[in-house]
Amino acid sequence: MNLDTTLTLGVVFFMLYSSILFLVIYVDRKGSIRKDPAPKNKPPVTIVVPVYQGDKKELIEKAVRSCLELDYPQKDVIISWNGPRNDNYDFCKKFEGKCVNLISTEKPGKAAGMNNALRYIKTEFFCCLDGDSVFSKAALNAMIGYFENPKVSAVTSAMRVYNPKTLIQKVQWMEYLFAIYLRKLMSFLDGIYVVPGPGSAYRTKIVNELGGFDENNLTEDMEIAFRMQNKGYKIENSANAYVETSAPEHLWQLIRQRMRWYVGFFDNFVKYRFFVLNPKYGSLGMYILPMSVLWVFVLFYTFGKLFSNAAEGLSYGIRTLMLTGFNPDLIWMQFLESLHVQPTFMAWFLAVFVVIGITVMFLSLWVSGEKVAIKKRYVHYAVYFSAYSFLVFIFWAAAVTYLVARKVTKARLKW
Amino acid sequence: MEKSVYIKTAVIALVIFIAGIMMGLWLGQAKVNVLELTTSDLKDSVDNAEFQFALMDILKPEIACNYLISTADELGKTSDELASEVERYESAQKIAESDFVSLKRDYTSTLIRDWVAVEKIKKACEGDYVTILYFYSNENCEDCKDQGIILTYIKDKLDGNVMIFPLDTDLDVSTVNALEESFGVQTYPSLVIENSLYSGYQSLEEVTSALCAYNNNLEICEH
Repeated sequence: MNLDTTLTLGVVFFMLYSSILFLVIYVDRKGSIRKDPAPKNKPPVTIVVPVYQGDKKELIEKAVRSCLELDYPQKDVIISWNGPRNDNYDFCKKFEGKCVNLISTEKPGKAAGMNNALRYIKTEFFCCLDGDSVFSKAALNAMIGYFENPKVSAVTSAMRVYNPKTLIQKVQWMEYLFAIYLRKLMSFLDGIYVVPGPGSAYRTKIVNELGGFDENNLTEDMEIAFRMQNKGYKIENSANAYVETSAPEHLWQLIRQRMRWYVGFFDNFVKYRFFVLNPKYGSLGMYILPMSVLWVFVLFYTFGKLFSNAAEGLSYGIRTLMLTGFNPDLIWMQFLESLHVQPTFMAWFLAVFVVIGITVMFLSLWVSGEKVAIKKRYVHYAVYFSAYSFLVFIFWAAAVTYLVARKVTKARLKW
Repeated sequence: MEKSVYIKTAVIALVIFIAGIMMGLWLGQAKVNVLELTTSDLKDSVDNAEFQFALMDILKPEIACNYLISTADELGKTSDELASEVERYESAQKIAESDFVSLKRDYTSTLIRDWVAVEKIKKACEGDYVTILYFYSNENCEDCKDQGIILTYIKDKLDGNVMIFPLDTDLDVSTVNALEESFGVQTYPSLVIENSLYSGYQSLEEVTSALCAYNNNLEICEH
């Protein structure tokens, strides 16, 4: 067995282990995945809607309305403006009233807006709902029961893509459902390391105790999660707390968003590197963080191999053209030749991964309460299955390029 | 729950993993068995050709040659198919290589016997096909890839009129070594077209002119 085969087998085992782990947790916790603890009482909650000049008016309106329409007795809304004002600010004024306050800070960034809001929050719990997201009516009810456990510092929601139209949004639609599945299962391992902006709920006292949100962090929602985990607080997830959020429409917007996420992950990973392989941090330190990093290497290895194979095939084709001229039947013959699947161990593992992939897709649909609707959504599924891993590779490649450029030039990109 | 989940996962993953490895080994063995069978079929055909050849003394030469030429044609086809099967499996990622090496040695010896039979038939019956012995190496031979491309093209163009016998010189098969010595092969790639040695990489023009010098009626020759 040569080095290449050994590496391939290593990657295969790694992928098997990580995909099966979540299936095992799934089976283990099947009964409690869609069940949230019923709240004994419903304390008042403040919902902060951070907005800035880049948000769309109709989405701000939808966001604020969804807060007011939440099926929850006592709720206040704070629209928290950050950065320089534009006509969006005046637009927000129209919501001011009995339950809605508009506050503002000149400091740009969502973290600044959230910290400003923290000064006004009087309730024991608060939510954050990004200005481009919409709460489902039952969301807050689903989340609040988790706070009965005093160790719980935050509860994350189940995010879905709002009205997917473009191909890129349709890929993300499926991706988000898979993330609902994964986030719920990760919560059983106490392994959640992001408290996303759309719809998460927080215990006000703990966030204040931790000093609020980090205004200098690219992904402040990840940084606060790490800080909570560091202090031994729990982060829970409700798979019933649906929040619909706008996803980037075009590829370049998506790449930009993911670059920010992944660079943010890298920065926080470096900042909290003492978590890694530290038993004090449980599964997060011992398994989830090391595996997340290993995944990136596996991704690069797999695509590197794929590209080198493709390059080899291409160069063979080009050599053939150069040496013997253009012969359609020879090209056709070579093409047919390339389709031959050899009966090796890879054929077996590919079959195993296809089965796991399809199973996980159905489970994701079930966990996120979606109907299968293959006829209606075949594009979503097909694009996700065929192109998603390649997209993730592009995101990481872009993020790594950015990290290297930042290291070399010491420049900081504005997001 | 945590520890038990990790242990359960490890057990399941290991079972699937080991099953995959066993499956890989089994599939590989099955493939090697099929290739061995095909090699042995080729051996039988060569034996048969030799037997038919022995009949030359008894049968009328025209009748015997009719049989022999079609046998030679069959031999060429079978060895071509086997060659591409062997090449495909050779380039695939495998866990166990050992079985394959012994298969390939056996296959290479059979190819040489095939070549001898085909040559004999051609001499006795004035067959109009051309034979090429192709000596190559998989180690440090960049030109071998290009030579392979040229020969694939020639085979594709001339179909039954040319028989190519690719001989892997890395295997250290004694008959290959003997052939190398007798034709004076020093470098790779080297071609022996109708018993003349062409050392080093031969371009399409060079191979064409060598083939046409031997038989000007071939499709690739300028008439």
